[in-house]
Amino acid sequence: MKLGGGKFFAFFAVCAAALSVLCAACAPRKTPSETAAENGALLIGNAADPSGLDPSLTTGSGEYKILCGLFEGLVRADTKTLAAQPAAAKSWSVSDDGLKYVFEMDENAKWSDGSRVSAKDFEYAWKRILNPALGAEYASMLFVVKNAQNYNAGKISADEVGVRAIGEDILEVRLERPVPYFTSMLYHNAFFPLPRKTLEKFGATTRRDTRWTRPQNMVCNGPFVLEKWSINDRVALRRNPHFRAKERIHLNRVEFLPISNINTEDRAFRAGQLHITDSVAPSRLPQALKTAPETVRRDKWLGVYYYLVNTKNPPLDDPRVRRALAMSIDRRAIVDTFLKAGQDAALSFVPDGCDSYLLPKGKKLSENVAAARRLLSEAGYPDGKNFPTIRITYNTSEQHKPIAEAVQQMWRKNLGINVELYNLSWPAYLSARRNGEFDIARASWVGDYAAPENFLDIFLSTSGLNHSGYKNPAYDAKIERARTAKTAAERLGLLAEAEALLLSETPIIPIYFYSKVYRISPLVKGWHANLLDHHNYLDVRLEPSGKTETKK
Amino acid sequence: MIRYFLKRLAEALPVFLAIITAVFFMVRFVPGGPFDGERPVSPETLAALDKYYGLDKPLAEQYFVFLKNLARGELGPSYKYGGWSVNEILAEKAAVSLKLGACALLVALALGLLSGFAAAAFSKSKIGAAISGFSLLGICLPSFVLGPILILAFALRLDLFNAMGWNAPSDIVLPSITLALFYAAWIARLVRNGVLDESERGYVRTAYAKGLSPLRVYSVHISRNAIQPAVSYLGPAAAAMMTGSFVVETIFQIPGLGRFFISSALDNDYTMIMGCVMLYSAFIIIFNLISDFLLALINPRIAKEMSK
Amino acid sequence: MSEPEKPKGAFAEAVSAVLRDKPAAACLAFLGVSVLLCFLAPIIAPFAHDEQNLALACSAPSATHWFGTDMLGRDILSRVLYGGRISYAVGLLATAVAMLIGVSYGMVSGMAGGRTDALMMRFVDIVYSLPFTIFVILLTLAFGRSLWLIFAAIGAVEWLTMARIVRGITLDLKSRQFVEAAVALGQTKTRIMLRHILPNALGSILVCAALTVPSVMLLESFLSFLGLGVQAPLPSWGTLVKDGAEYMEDAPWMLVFPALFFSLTLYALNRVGESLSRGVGR
Repeated sequence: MKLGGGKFFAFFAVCAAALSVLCAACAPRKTPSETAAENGALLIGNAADPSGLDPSLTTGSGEYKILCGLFEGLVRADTKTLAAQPAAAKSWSVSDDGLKYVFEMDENAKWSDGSRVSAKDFEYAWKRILNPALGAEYASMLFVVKNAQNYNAGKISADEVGVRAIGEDILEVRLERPVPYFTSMLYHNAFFPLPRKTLEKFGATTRRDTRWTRPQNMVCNGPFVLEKWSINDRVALRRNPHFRAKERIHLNRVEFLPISNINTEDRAFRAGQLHITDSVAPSRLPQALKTAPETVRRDKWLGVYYYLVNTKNPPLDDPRVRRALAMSIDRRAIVDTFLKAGQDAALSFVPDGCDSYLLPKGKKLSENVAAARRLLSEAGYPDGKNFPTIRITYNTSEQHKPIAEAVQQMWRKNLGINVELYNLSWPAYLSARRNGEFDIARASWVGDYAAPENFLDIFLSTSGLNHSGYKNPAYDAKIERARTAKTAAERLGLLAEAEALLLSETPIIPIYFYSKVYRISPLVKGWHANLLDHHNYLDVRLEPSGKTETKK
Repeated sequence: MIRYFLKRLAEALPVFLAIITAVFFMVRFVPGGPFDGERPVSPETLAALDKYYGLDKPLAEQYFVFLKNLARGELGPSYKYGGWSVNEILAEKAAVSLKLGACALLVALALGLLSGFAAAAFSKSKIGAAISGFSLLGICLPSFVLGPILILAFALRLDLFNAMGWNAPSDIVLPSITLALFYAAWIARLVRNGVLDESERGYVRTAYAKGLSPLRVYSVHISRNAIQPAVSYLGPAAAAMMTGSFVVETIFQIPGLGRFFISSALDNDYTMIMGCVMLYSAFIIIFNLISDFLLALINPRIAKEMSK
Repeated sequence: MSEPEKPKGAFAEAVSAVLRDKPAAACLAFLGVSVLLCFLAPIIAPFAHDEQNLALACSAPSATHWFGTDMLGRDILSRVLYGGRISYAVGLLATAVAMLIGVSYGMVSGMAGGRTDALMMRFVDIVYSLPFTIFVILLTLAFGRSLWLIFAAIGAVEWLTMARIVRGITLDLKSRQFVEAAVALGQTKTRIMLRHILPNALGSILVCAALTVPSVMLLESFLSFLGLGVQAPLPSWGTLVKDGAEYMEDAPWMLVFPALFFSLTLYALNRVGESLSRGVGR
């Protein structure tokens, strides 16, 4: 072959030159987060796209983050203390028996179309989410309201539900039973008001798939309004000119970037394309702490990571076996070698921070391999002999796999039993859980509000969330008695008894309590840590001057 | 010629129907439903949801409803993204993927043709071996390794590009290279083999014997025939690039189509799966036709065959 | 091209062409050695593939752990060896499935000819225009996550090219004298396929197979990226490379060693395949 190679090289050189010119021309000088900071735009990593922005229909924490910018409920949480602050309601009162709440609306609270946020908008919204035709997943949040459950089950009419607007100004709420933490439940998007006119225009009162949540259509009452929603790209919010407390908004825009790959998010942060990340990969944590510790936050978070045990089938129907499993996990080792963010090992189910709720130390689980082996041998499996192979089911994720692998190894080593791992896609995993097609399933629970009931109610015999098959009338009775307790101390005491009972029977194997681990640019000021990872973007500001973005 | 294409299109229709029917029933065998949320939901609510989206009807009836809607060009609402229809999402994302795919196609063609011809031209020397070795990189290294390496080098170390996203014009460079290398490797191989095969043929020897210059023999006679395998490979390759890549889109955070091909299947988003499958099949059919057309342009014999 | 009457000649020539091609021969040797090492893993691996030592998590290569350890303190060298077993097994078995389906389908289609042939090839077109990632994912989701099903699923996808090639060769051979002679002698179609067509197509089948193995292995790595690969704690090169990619900046040895083995193997397979194809004269 005698072809002139020169021609190819010439062509190649031209290509290379063109490429390098292109590179030079588009090379970004200032990082996007610096430019954004100058424009007052906060860039937040949000692990996934919202599956919707209708407050009655969304269930995830990613959606909640966005909705907190778009809406506000009757009260809002102080982001430092989580105490209730006035929001759409300027004041409220509770009757002595704790069954009736009266909210007085703030006349300055406006929808983004300039109209007033009235008590009727709340009544409409609450009755909408309870409407059986809508099939809202979170309707059960409102079951504390009088007759709500019956209306949702289609047994009675909407008029009997215990929420009523008296004129524009007053909202009266009647409860099924006293709920000491009712105001903190109101932070949740299920209790947000809805712009009735807009929803009715799109026929959204009983329909799920309407376009009222699109930027050009949506009317909101929060500090921001929806500017753009492009799937897999971003959800952008812009300042709401009609917000009642304009002086507390220091941002012009908030953008949520649905970055699903944790390493992509990390690189984006280091390249200065994000102000706040959703999380940090454990693999990246040591390096981040070494090079830029001021950007790493590890805040306690009201959630627990646990293994759910199917108590219906042998050998796991024996509480001794379940306890043995729970006792022979080295939780500290899992946290230190894999999670690396100093999470607390979980020897109980309810995380710290629910008021003054406290489980006495003696009632908690303990880690004790020798005792675990004894329990297993009492149950008829000395040294794990004759113990059938059990399976740990988890949903496919880089977070769950190493933990399952470590637990598998610990049980094999400590108890001599065989464990196999089984990962499933998210819907398949959930359906396996719901149908009881598992031995041990990875699970987690993050509190919607800071009350032990939010955690302990899961294991009531009547609970739809109780997939362990655990049923204990004594447990149910304690929770029930706590509901009617006269004093806070009595209530918390009864709940602690219930939790102690739960732990002694061990339908769950708690592993660790969550921490919210993320990175935040030093340009962001006023971003407070709290147990619920609750942020409403009020009083948050960006300071472009001073320090520049830390790279690497 | 036109008749040939019309015939092909007419043939494609039953293929298309068969595909969507197969997938429609296949997705229902996957465990779990589309409405399993983060928090478990009561059976009543699930029943209400199924009723709302018509999933409580018999499967056959659902299938006919689906076909009826399809005839009107309606793919229905996405089960995962509240308030969005599948049509809307696919239209929006296709724009991104077409742009990225076209760019990647150009890169793949440039790299593939260049290194394919070069490897053939220097086939007797070490340079040729080196070039053809290098061109295999794309099929030896998974793109989920290649992509992050490119980002670390060119975005974080050299600061030439953004580390992710789809905003600046330069955001197209790294993803299209990552996407293109795999296809470039195939094109290079096909071109190289094509050239080597052709240069051993009789007509080439005749051409040399007639005293034609090597360059002329090469550009007029050999390349015309040598690139034919590569051109017919371009059909499926272009379709694959234009429908996006899950890996590239995840690593570079690009709002394209590719992610839906995977996520819809993993999330049991039935309507979206159907939309993706149909789009992909349509792309394959269209790009195969285009590559047939190109083949006919290159080789009059094929054109004659087609006009039959 | 050798005369098709002596099929063994064509095959032997292809192999000797590879051996003459020095780099390809080196690649073949590399493949031989790495297959041997991987399949001897239970004997030669210094540790079990799932033996953890949490205290040594993510430690750099050392005298005890030549390739370092992963995030749970498992020996990377051992995992690479065990992982190779899975990856080779996936590659070879899926290719075998693809060959079995593809060769018989292609031969039958080519031999039948006419309407049957057209219909059978139309079916291949249908499957060709399925987005096969969705197809594989749906299969793995629907039928659970057994390793054998992954082979089957991948094989079920990869047979198409093989079928097309074999059909083409069959059509070509059918018109040759020696086949026509066999038909004239009244031999059955099955016999003709097995005795005359298959041996002559062997070279091309081998080339196609050699190129299918690496593409299956690459596909396995893609499934691993999606978390649909082999069930943990069993390693494959795909899952190892995937895990390594997550740690590429913090524990580079977790990526470098598995990726080195993986990429070299893919390269060698491709290189040998190419050399074979030149030997066969395709």
